[in-house]
Amino acid sequence: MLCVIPAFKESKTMARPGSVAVVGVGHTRYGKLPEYDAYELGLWALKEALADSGLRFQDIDGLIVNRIPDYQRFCEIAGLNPSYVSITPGQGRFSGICIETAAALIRDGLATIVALVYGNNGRSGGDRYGGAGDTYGSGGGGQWFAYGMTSPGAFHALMARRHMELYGTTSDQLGAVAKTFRDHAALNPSAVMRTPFTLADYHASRYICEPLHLLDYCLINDGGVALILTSGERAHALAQPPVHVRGCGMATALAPSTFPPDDFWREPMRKAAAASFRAAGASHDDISALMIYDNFTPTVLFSLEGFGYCGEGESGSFAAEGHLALGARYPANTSGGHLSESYMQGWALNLEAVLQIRGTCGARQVKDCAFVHYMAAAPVVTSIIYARDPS
Amino acid sequence: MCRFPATRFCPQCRSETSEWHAVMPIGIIETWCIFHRPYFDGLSVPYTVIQVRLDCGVRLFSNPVGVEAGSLRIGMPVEAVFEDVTPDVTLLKFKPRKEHQ
Repeated sequence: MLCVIPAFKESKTMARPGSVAVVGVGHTRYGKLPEYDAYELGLWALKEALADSGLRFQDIDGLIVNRIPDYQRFCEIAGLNPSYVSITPGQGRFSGICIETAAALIRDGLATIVALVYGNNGRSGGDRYGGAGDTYGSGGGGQWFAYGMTSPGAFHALMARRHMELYGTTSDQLGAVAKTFRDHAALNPSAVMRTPFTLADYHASRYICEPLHLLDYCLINDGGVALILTSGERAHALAQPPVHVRGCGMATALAPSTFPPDDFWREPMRKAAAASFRAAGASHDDISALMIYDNFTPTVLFSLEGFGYCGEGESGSFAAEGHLALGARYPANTSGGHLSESYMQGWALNLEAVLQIRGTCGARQVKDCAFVHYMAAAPVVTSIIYARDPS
Repeated sequence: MCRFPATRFCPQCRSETSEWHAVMPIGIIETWCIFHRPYFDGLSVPYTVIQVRLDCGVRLFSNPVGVEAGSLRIGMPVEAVFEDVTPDVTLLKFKPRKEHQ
């Protein structure tokens, strides 16, 4: 399919110089895909994203891969020779980092059409996220194995316990997060877990690392996701309505980071959020939907507080009162998120943000969705505001 | 400023000059969690991991001794218990400390 990229085109919705948009998204089936390795899952997703955008492989001049083990091998398999290439560690914080980096590359002129490609065969590959092979934490955390301390789940369980003790957050409130996102997944044909459950079911699910139950943990799945980004000017000529990356922010709490942060990452979230809202020229009132990195349910609560959607210690009530549900004020993780759609380390949440702005979410569509806020709370915090309009 | 585990450079002043100090074996519990899924052979579940902040400022992960998980509290004063596991390996655990001691 021929694609002509025209010179700058004047229009009523003229992109402001320096604007960046997502013009293509794609993903594989999610679940158990043992016949595909991570490279193949990434390439499958990239093919979908290119078809979605109307662009061709030869149009890609920037590439960043994530979770895929080797960029050189990926490019050889995919037949790509991009002008710009990079590779990022397979940590969920990197989806936001990759998107922010792609936007900067495009703004700076280092690349014009950037593909971001993620492939994860962790389920078929037997990923465990804990025990002797655990690499979570600063330097891998292995020094505490003698005491049985391991896994990102335990790290977040420690935080959840402290949040409960300090603010009175309850298991029911954590369960409300899990239940809400499962209800959303029921409306999403791509989701792996679609059967709604009750709070009683939530409590009955076995403890993994108390206070966290099985249903507080994200899934482990195979799958791939790809995003194609370009300048706002080029975006208008392409197949899909552009979804603008209106504002980005990032902040870190790395020194120190072996132990849970006293402030539940509120300070870096405040900084990242402020930068992204400032760049977007928007505020919390403008936001139609939230995509909250949900590796574990308590992360959702910390994010609501840190990114400014509720006060300190109030996130449990906020969730339990139903504000995150479709039809409520701040529908969150409308795809079902990591807890119920698939754990694609932030990538599928960003994809869902794009679909919501485009208005193609069907039964789970947020009405009049003009702005979506993607937020990830971790030792590296990212905040990305997507918008229907360039300014 | 105390740091542990040892690193060549200080993360605050980046000096290479440092020395080992003996510190008071007391601190408080900052949080805890209870493992129900086993991750290590020979460590049977359930077991409790505590996060301790020593009075000198150093943080540690450890296990509680002589107190049930249900009785743990943020800020609970604790003192060190040295558990000789093998001739070469000693584990540092913590038991509740009475405040006035």
